[in-house]
Amino acid sequence: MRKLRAIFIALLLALALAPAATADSITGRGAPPESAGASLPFANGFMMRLAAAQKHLNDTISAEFRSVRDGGSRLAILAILGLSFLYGALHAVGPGHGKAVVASYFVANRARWTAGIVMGSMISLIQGVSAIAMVGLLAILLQWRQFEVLNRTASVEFVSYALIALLGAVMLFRALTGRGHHHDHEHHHHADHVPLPSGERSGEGAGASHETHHAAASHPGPHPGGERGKARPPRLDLKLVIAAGLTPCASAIIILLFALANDALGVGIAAVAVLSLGMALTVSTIGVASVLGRHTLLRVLDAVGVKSHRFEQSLAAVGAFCIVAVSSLLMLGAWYRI
Amino acid sequence: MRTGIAAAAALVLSAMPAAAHPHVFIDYAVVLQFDGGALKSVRMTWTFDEMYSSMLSQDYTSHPRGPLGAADVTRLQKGAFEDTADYHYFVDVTLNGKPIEVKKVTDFAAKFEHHRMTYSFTVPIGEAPASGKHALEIAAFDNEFYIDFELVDKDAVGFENAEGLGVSCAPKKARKNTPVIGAVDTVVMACTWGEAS
Repeated sequence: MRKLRAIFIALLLALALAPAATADSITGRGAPPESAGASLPFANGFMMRLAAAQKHLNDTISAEFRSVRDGGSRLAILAILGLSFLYGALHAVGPGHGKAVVASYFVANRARWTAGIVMGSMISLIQGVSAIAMVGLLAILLQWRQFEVLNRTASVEFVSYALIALLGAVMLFRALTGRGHHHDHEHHHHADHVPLPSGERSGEGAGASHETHHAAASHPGPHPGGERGKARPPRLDLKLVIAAGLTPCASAIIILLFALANDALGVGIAAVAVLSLGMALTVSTIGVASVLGRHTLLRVLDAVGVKSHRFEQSLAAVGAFCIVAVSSLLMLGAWYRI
Repeated sequence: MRTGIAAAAALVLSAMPAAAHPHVFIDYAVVLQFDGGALKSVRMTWTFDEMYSSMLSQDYTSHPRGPLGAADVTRLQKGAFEDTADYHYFVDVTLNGKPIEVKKVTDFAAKFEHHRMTYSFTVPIGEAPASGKHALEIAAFDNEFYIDFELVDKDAVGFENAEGLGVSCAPKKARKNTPVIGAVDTVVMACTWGEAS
């Protein structure tokens, strides 16, 4: 019951604080959202400086693309790549880019800190591939107009967020009902398994039982082994990673279109690859912070004598709920823009 | 349990959705247009970043990178300007502390120079009285941060028919509310003119 109450309160909080997510290019925007008004302390001045830095990088990258077009110096290409990394890292600090999914996932699930890096990087890199694929298909093969390509990201976002919401809903259902796991709180079925690096596709061998499958990442249920237990951390949820990676970043699309307009598509693709690496740095940092945050929270609870395994179940539900809430909002935001 | 709720709240907050980080960068400048001692309108100029400028010129003009013809300007206005009316053309303006709702702007113009697209348009101010002391604060601002608006470094403000009015303008820090990340500090152009009666 307490669990349900926590979820209910989290739901209210989310509804109270959640903004409508509609923003697009000058063309093809949806209606403006109603203004809510939660205030973040970091926002003051910080957003301005962050934006100013990105503007500066954007200006310099543009100029270097022109010099690649006009003469093609290697130095210009190197400059584009270096600056794109910075641009990606800074750009991903702003809301979006799968950070919500990554953070929620690692609140819900026990994992190693390396899993935070793997998941953050995979999402960012797949997002880069998605941008390249979209521009390749729509702008180059189908010869769509540039804004048509850019605005099409909304459709891809919609699909991506819908899939994430669906996966989150499954996680939430399992967390709430405790369905889909067969171990109880006294038995450590996995204790004899050798801990494997997270993200590795393990379990295909002899140990690939039904049970292993359920211990896999899409299953956020309580893990009685505790944070320090010997139980193997869940595998990364590849479905979730791919769903979150589908959404291309508008900036990656814009850079590719600019490269295309300057007859430097190859440099553009390389720039987007490096941009994605920069984003991976930022998103991974969020992932690692979430893993460590959860770990610390449970340790503190243990230290003060709270039974942390009961809390883990709540975390699984809260994390899953956040995934559903955030992705549903983003899905609505994308819907307005389609 | 309370910690859990706080953690959940913090998480939801930190993970605020929206594509709210700038993808478009616009430098803007304003010209205060007086008539008979009263402020009639403000001419707003937007200069886009090179990447977005390139997209605009490729999609909406007949000679990418070249000078714009009248048909190009009309295409830009219809295709890539008019719908910003939904956002009050991103103009935030107050006269003597009272917000003015910008519903319609006039005299749209566009040019493409030095790899950049520039839009300009006139924002009517309405019935500003000619006498007394007045204060205007104006900024271009997208509270969703899809567009990053910044005052241009040089000549961010100009005047027409302002002789003898004692107009004085300076950029000023101001706090604005946004739906996504709450209050943010930004810069507005603050002007005063006229004599206290």
